[in-house]
Amino acid sequence: MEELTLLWQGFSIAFEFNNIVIVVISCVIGTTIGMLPGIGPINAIAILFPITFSLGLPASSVMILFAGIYYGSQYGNSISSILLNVPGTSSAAVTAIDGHQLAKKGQAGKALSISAVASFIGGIISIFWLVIFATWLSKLAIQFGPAEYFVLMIFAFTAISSLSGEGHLIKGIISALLGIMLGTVGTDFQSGVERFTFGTLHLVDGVSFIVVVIGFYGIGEVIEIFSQVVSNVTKTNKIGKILFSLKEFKESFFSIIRSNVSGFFVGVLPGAGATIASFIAYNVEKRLVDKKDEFGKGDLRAVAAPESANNSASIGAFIPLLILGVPGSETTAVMLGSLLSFGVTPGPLFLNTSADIFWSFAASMFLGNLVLLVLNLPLVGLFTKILLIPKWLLIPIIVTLSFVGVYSISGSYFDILLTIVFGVLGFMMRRTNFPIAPLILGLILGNLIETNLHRALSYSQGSFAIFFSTGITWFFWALTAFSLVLPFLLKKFKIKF
Amino acid sequence: MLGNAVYENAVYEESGNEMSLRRRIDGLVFVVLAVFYALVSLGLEEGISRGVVSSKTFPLAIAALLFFLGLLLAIQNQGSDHSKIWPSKAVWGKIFVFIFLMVFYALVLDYLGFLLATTLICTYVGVSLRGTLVKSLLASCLICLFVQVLFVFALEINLPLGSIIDGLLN
Repeated sequence: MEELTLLWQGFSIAFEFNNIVIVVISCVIGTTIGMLPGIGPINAIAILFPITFSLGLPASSVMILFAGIYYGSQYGNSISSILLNVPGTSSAAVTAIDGHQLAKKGQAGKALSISAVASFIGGIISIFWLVIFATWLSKLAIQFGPAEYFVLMIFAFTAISSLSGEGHLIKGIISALLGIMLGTVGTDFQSGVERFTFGTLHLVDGVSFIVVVIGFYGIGEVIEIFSQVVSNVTKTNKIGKILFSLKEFKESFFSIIRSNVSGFFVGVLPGAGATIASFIAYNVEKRLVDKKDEFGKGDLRAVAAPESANNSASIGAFIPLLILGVPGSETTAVMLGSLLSFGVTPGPLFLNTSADIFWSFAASMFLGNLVLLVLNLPLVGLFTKILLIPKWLLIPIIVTLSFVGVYSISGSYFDILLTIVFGVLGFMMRRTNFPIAPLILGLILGNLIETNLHRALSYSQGSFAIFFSTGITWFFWALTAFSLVLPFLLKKFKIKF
Repeated sequence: MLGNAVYENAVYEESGNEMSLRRRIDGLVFVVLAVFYALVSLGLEEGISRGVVSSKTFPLAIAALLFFLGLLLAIQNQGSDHSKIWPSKAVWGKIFVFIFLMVFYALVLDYLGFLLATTLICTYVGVSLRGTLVKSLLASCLICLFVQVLFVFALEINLPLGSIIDGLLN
């Protein structure tokens, strides 16, 4: 009951005029970004981050803005998947299987509307899951000491490395190590020693998070697109009848609910995320309800299930981010960095110290999902026009916003040079299939790992037994071992994502 | 047009041997990086006493792990790596020009000013991505003007005007 009272208070903040405007803007940006192949919510958040600083927005509004872009992009993803068979990100790849088949049959409108409704239902139920589990988990997380945190972060690294490296665990861990190395640049706050600054004053405060994120995701993406063979989008399928029938909705309803549950809990696991959630939902529904072997040929349930799952997973991913301070995906990793820059520290005490931010954020997601439903049903025709923006116009906009974003924070050409260096590195990593998400995680959590290692060993007077001293540490060691074995299991059972 | 050249023979599929060689090179790059990082770490001062963990302990542990994984990557003989698509030499040429122009942009930003420097680099990008010169130049001018006005007047952040425009204004 206490949670409902707090949620009600959250609504009073979320429904302030400024925040309503932010929710609407973030949903429009998210949907738009989600539709554009190759550009995801992380690019939008990276580029907008400096602007939120300049606007002087409070942390709660920034959180609402970034979250809206994040789950809004899940809606947008489905549009390009269904109409063009071009998923904006890998999480929408499953939607494209049946969604595009429906579009080819002239039933794109039905596919788009069921995907919007499934995302909406999945999203709304997931917010309740978030509220319930966040409160429960925050009580548990208070028992975490430095040793538990250290092991938890080791688990987060192995999980995100093993699942984001396209089956290549070593590359994922190397990427995380590169991020940790970047995090060691600058003054070490424990000892006061300047590390890896090579005598330049520009690096004394460390490498700016904004510079790294804009470099890897803004400029890196620009070089990537620059290098690709781009086939211009000139043809879209007819949208057809906009709404599905009541009978079709009834048939899809339980698929939506089941996918919500599995999607949310997969989203909670670090490294798993929306892509795996949508694949699992599709496979489960195929086994449960596809008696006539209709999946793959254009079945509405095969669109509804992954859409409900991926939106639920994107909300589930906020649990480890906010309650444990450990992001489960690259987008939430960037959000964590942003929150830390605003002086907000997610973790076990987050619900006590920043209750207003958490509850207004949860409440804003109700509003956001409603806005997305309203936007996606009648305005889908308008949104598809955005797919026609040519690259020669889109990419210069990203270049300008990236450079101006970095310059507005530091006013230094050195940071722009550093951004370019990271952009080139980001491009090389994409080309050689090194995942970037672990690097960002390493940059953000590297210092925390070092600090917790130091604290734990100080408590234990140098004994490493402290890392095996409680049930919680053993639990996370077991999960770490499992996440290291997982890629081999997935390979053995031929599961790709 | 300049941009069309970018898309001709833009990618090719690598053979298994080429992929394997590239993976070995990747691995060795990280081995060298780990050695360099370890050497710099060893030269760090101890600083204020931190008990059992000194300022160089953590970086040395990271370097050791990177060295080991780099070696593993270099010697591993794994079949599929998904890195089959690789830009052709012509595309690499264009990418290098683009990177060079971005570095040049950073170095001359204060001299040319945000408006002029950004318009020039955006026009280059636009033309390279199949836009016509006139359209790209016009779009770049409008984008930069909009951003300059937004930042200076709405966000109250000064972007460099540059010596040339400054001189003209004075």
